[in-house]
Amino acid sequence: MKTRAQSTARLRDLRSAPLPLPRTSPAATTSPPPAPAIHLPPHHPQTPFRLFRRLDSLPMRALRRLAARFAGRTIALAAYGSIAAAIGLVSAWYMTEAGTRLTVERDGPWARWTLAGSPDADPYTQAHFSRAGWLPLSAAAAVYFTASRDSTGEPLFSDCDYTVSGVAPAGRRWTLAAYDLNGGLLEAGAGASAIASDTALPQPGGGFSIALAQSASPGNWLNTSGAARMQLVLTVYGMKQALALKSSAAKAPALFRIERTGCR
Amino acid sequence: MMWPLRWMLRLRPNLLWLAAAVLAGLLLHIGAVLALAHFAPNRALATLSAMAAVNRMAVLDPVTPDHQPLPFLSPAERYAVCRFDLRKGPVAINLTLGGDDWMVAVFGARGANVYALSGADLERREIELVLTARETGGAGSPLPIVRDGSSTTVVPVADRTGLVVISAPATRPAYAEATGRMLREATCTQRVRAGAAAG
Repeated sequence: MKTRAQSTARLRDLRSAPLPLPRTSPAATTSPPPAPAIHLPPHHPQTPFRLFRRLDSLPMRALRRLAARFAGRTIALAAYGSIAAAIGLVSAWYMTEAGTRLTVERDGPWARWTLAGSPDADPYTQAHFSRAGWLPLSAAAAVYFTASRDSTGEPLFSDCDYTVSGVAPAGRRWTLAAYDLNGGLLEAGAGASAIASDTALPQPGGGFSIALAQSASPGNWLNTSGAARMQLVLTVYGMKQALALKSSAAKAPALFRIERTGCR
Repeated sequence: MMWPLRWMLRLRPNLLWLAAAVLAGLLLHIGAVLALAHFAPNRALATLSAMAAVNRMAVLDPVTPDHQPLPFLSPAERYAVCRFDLRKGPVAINLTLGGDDWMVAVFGARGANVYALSGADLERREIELVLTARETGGAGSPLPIVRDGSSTTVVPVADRTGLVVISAPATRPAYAEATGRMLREATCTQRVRAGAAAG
């Protein structure tokens, strides 16, 4: 049994002994760890020109700081200006091109600018039609529907075949024509470039079925051509009067469906 | 080159600047839309106006892919246009509507549709539109559209110049000749100022 004196001596020995080294690999023990990099300030020799150099560097630093601040402000201005331009121009383009619920009514694939051809047309409607170069004649006598996608939401292509079918829209007369995205008529070749209710053949049930194809098709055939995006314009005359004659609870029948039947 | 980058890295989103950017974007949006609505219609009108002499009716050729004066003109219609000028007095448009789907539309100099009618609106087929400058109504107040028993309609127009567009259905080949003849018989004539009272 150790005495108190022996324990005290042992503790003194342990305190005075060097700390044990950590266990390392032999290679690590042979090469000492790299010394940490120490960045020292550049050596400024004590020359007679030291004061002059310091005076010279101060305006340069101020100039550099000023230029940096100017660059920063310019970059900030450009960044916020880009945000403003993106908000302004993109939203203006979208609202005049596609329209919103404020200006456009949609029925399946068909869209109608509600104030097209009206003296009270809002600026978005005016901008839309002026940008397209379209001069709608009357809002009261005719209603214009456009479709650039089929009933499943796929874009319309002039080298695909489609069937436009359904109950005739309420109104005295309707016409259907195919255009490219710039409003140019598609080459019709031997077929018709427009179909109207007064020349279209109705189906036994009273509806209509119109084939949009590049090759001749029996029945109502609207000749298309080319291989690019296209859009359809359905003009209905006397639609508002026809709907006004109906009871307020009666809803207008859905417009023609557009279904793709094949592509080349 | 490092110090501008340092300043760039120091940039923090400034909410005040962000709000100002949003506000500037809204102003830009309004300006772009109004500029489009205000200036662009002249192109469509200018194209059609170039096809007709002043105060003369001109019947356009049938619309085909090779002859399409304006985008989206319907090949199912025939068109006649009259470029009117009211600075020397009212202009009278006389025509016979061939059916309910014939339409007459009056556009101001900036492309605003100021008046339109269709055959379905009228009982008589022979119509006369008298276009007058709005100030001739007295005290600068707009004239109401007056219709009398002879189907004469006075249309006050705020602009001194503009365009009248007549459209007629042209899908039935059997009626093509009659439609063309009726359009050619439509007239657009200047009236002396004294005649405005009769309109």
